[in-house]
Amino acid sequence: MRRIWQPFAIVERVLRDRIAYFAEIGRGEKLPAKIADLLAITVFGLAVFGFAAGLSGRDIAQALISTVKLPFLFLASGVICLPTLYYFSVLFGSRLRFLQTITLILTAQTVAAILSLGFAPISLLFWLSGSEPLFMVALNTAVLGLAAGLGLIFLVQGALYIQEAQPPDKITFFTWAWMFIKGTLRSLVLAGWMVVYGLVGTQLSYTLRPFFGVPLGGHDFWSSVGNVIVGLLK
Amino acid sequence: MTDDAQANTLLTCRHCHGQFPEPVERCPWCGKQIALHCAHCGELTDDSTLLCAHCGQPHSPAIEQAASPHDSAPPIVIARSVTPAPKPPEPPMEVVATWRELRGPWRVFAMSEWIMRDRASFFDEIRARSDLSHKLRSMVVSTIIYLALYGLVMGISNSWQQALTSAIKLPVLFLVTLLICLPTLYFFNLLYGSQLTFGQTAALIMAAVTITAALTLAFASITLFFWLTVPDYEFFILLNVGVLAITAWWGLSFLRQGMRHIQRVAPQARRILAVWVAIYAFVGTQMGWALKPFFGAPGQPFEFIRRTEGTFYTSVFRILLGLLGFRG
Repeated sequence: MRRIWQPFAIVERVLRDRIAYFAEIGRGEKLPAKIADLLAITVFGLAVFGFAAGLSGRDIAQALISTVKLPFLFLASGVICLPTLYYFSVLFGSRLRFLQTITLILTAQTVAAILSLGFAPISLLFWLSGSEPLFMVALNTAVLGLAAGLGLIFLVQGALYIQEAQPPDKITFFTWAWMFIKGTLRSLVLAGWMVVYGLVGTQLSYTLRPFFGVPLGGHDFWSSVGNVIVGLLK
Repeated sequence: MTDDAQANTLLTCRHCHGQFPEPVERCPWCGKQIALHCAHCGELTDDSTLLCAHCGQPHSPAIEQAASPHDSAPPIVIARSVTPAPKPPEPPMEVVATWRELRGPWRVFAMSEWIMRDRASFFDEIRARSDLSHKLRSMVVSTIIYLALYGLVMGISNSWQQALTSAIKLPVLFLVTLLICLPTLYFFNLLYGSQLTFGQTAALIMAAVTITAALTLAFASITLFFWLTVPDYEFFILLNVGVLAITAWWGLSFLRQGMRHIQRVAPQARRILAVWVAIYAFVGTQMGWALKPFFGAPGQPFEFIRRTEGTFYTSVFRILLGLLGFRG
């Protein structure tokens, strides 16, 4: 029974003791085991949230399909963007190894998955109390976007921390900002990569639609968003 | 008798003489290290000695390389302390003893007394993680009773049926909202670097809800009195909202104190609290919306649940739009 809960031990370390966790990645400690745990949590968290979000259109079949689609969306985006991040980082003098890059990307997705998992009961409550489908779509998309964004922050911090020759013990927001500025070119690569990752993710989500079972119209991701906003205001 | 024996098996920190129930590496009172895991057998052993109390080997490699043991005294085991040591300021004994020693159904009422009267010892016990599940059970049961009683008063403006259903709905509102929010609250806790475990988070928030419930009940007779003497429906609603706002405010301040007390370093406590309140309010308003009505205008037909499509926020939004002149 304990084996099932074992991957969750890493969640506490990632969220609470971020610095120690990044230091472990920097030293290359047990990366395959970490990757396996992170993968398990990402799939589980996003599957649960996918189910809750897929109920927006009041169709259980859609909910079950989204249970599979949402983890796939995140993992596929990560895989698609992985070579770009690795090679361009190496090109600009980054110390990141391939396994470390995989671990960092997966960490970002695990953070997103965990926060979404935590929000799933709240989403279910809104669904159960009869919220309109468009509201559910807006709510779930906003949460997912926020969670993914927070995950990306972890990625950037991890990458910056590992690059540091002598990382400080106590890190504040300004320390991170300073590390980011110091990196100049490498940081630009990171920032650029995040934009690419976002574009890939949103476009993939449009290609893999529907997730919510609600007809959203639009010919790409952003026009769908526009339709949702217009629909809400009506 | 068993409880007495158990009370004597508290462990004592050798630095500050604070007492706590379970063997730990660092004293929960002063934070100094008092034990470590033996390098040979892995058991937790007193670090002031040279040999592990369980396997008899030197508990750390540094000691094995030491020239000669400095400590000539026999190994002191982190064992059950029998001699009473000078304790940190103790709570008034009768309050602490009351909840711990009472058995049976009246025990739950002693819990809120304890929380309100002597927060320090309550927070200390949460920090030491002693008996959390029993505490939680008492808190949940007492909250249900208090809020049910106040729900009776809330619904009385309409009919006895409304009073009964509000008595059910009000506890459900508070407790189910808390249940739904707990995972998110715990994760935000972790994100902001808090050292609280899931159980401690649950116990702390539940204590705040219990205080809110108890204080709300304290107003029940006043609310009832005003309804009987001033049968104005709008005033009644305002009064209830006012009562709930006051008690919620108190519960929040309790929560803030608790967080500061339990964590030696309270990382960004204000921000954590703000996020908690935002999430709880967000979910709570929707929950209240789904469960409405809680009151009922006198003379209106009784409705168990008035179903309207949509959420609290879209309704408010539409009302706002309507007020501003935009018609959908």
